[in-house]
Amino acid sequence: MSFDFSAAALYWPELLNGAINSIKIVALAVLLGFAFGMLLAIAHRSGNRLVQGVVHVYVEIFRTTPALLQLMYVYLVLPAVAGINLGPITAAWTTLGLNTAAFFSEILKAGFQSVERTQYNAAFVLRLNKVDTFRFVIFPQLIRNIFPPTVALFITVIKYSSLAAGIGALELTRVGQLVAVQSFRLVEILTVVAVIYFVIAYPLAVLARAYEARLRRGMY
Amino acid sequence: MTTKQGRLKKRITAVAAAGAMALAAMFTVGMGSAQADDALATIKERGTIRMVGVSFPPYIVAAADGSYSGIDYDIVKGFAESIGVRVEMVPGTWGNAIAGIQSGKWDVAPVFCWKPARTEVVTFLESHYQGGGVAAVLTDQGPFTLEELNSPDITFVFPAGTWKETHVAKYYPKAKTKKITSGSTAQVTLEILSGRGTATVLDAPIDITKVEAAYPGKFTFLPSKSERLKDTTCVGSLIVKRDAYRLAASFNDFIKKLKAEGRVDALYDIHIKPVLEGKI
Repeated sequence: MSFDFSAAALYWPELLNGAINSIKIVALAVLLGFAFGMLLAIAHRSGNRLVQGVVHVYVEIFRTTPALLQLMYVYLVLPAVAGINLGPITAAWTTLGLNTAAFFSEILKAGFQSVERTQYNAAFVLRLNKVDTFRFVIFPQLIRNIFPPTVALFITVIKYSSLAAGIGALELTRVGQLVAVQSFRLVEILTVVAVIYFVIAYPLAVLARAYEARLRRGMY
Repeated sequence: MTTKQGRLKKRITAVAAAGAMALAAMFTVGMGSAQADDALATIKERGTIRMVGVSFPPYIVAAADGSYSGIDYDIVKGFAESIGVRVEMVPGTWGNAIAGIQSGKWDVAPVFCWKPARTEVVTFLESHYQGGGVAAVLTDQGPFTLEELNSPDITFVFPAGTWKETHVAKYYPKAKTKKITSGSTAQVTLEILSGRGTATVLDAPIDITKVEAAYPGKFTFLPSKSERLKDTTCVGSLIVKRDAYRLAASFNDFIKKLKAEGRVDALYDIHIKPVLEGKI
């Protein structure tokens, strides 16, 4: 079997546009996910049982159902049950954002729990107010603990963005599928698509490792 | 019972109750949507007719840049103009094309082959489909006759749930099968070239041209490039929502008129000829 990558060159503008749409989906999903996830974590720490219950149900629904199903639900079912008719790209980043929020709130929750109670006590003894306690005592430890799983979550969102192909959003995977159908060069096109995903995600993984090492050095 | 067990029981009961309420809500919504609606009036009020953007050349061609063309696209566009609205393409996949019609995500989907189960959930419009099928087998494993394909030594590869599946089950019951979900012709032919299958059924004449262009001489077509397999011309048409009676009637009148004026044949010439002549 011979390989011919010229089809990828021919469809390069479309593939690039698909990559840009993927980045858009990821950026907006991460922004929504991290902001809403933070709100969920704060709500969970409020101590109000009812609020905690609502957060718990939300998190469990998103953690225990497949992301593709959530995406199809938002795209296909919401118009029928709630009259909310989102475009495919909007449906993709909204769903992935809501999904990310559930996981990020759990990361934050675990991060807060990993800071020992004695640290709060020590800050109290030093007469630090709440803001300073968070800023100088809790936050540096929290960031060190949540950083690795947060980066892993970010990379997962990049990979999950390809699920938007399932609702026809013109992101990188979907464009790759369409180009492959048109050019009959499935192997070559999917290889190029995989390389583009790698180019997007790998620098993030490298940066994360470097920052993590810096944080670890700062510990001692 | 310990307090812990009691709490667990309460929690399970609460989750079960929430699930039951969600199901009840779903059934209520289902009953609501089953009531007669007027899709045609909604489309006119909205100013657009929504069509799902899938790809099945030459009926609907979804380009990677987001544009659409094809026989079905032109028919829907013509109908839209006739009722004073425009076409809005909504991205989707074949897998969810019918689900999207049911949920109201789009109003019309491109050519589907008529199947009894499908008529339970959608309305088929006036048929305009003129396709047919050929069997494609790896040249270096033949020569084969159609009768020889009905053997356990042969593995047919085809997209699941299509007329191809029905055809293979009826005419080649002894052959092994490999079904691919949402498989394009490019994917199916690659499966065979990778050694995971021997034969497939293709849509003629477009797929013959495309497979020949991509893999010259690799496949032999049966009965021949110009002949079609038995029972492979499906009764295919555009589909709309099950209870969209006025929309279906209006659409059918339009398609009948197109056919009577020879404009459907003209669309076939416009969209198929360039592919057959190698211009696309």
